[in-house]
Amino acid sequence: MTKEKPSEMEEQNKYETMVILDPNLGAEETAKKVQEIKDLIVSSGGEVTHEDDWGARDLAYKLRGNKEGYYYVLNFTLDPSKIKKLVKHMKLEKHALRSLIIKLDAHYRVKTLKQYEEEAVVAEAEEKKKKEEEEKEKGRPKERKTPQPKKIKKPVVEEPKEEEKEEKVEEAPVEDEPVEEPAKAEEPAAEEKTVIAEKPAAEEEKDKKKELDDLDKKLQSIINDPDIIL
Amino acid sequence: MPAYQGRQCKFCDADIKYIDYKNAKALRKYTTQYFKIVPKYYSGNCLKHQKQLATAIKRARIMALVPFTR
Repeated sequence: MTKEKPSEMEEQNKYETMVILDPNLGAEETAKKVQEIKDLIVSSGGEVTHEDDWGARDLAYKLRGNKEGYYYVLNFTLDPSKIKKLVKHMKLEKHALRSLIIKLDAHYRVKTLKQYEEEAVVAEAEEKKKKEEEEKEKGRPKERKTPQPKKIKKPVVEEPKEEEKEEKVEEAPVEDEPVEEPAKAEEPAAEEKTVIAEKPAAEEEKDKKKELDDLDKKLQSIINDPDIIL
Repeated sequence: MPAYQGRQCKFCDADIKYIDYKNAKALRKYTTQYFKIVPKYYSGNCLKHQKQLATAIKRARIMALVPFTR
């Protein structure tokens, strides 16, 4: 015996789905897949109230090897007992990468992609104005001048070191000689040593002045040269 | 970000009752540099809106509008 049900309370709730489809399908096949979803909704006693086609967009991460996806949003009303069919259909669909079905509140207001983008542009403009006003109040200049580096002159303390090096270089080969020829090398070694010892005592000042002048000329040529950057 | 004390819920001031997961740019303000959700004491949201915000961000992550991490 079939039970006679009383007048069926058709409570239809509001739902929203977002579907990501494969972007490599083509215009015709994507239209077919979308139509299949709509037919399913209508055949089970529902109504499509609003739809929004977002088109192909960049994804935030890779999905099944794809970097882009075709987004589509649908708003509809349906009997709550027949939603499982929709969910199954979306899962078995090969070319649907992701799907989401949400039950909507009473406070929900339908908005399209364009409206969100316009709001974002307006919000950015307002933020820029606020930042500029804050900077003006504080009184900071927008562009700060970078301090230029001071020109550093090279120190002129290298002369005695050069002289000392020359003396050491001359003494080293001189010392090696007496080992080979002690008899004859002693005299020239001694003479050379005395000669070298006399040089720094008597002629240091003259040498210093000459080398100072030479160094000054070299430094000035380096500073004035436009190609070299200090 | 401004000081911790004295922050108020911007959603309560603007009388917003539903936070949409499709609005990826507006949700970006409530995520850190590495796309983590900002806590309530830092942004100043009330508990009601913080929970709605969190579900919206999680839905957007599933639908690849917002990444999980950088």
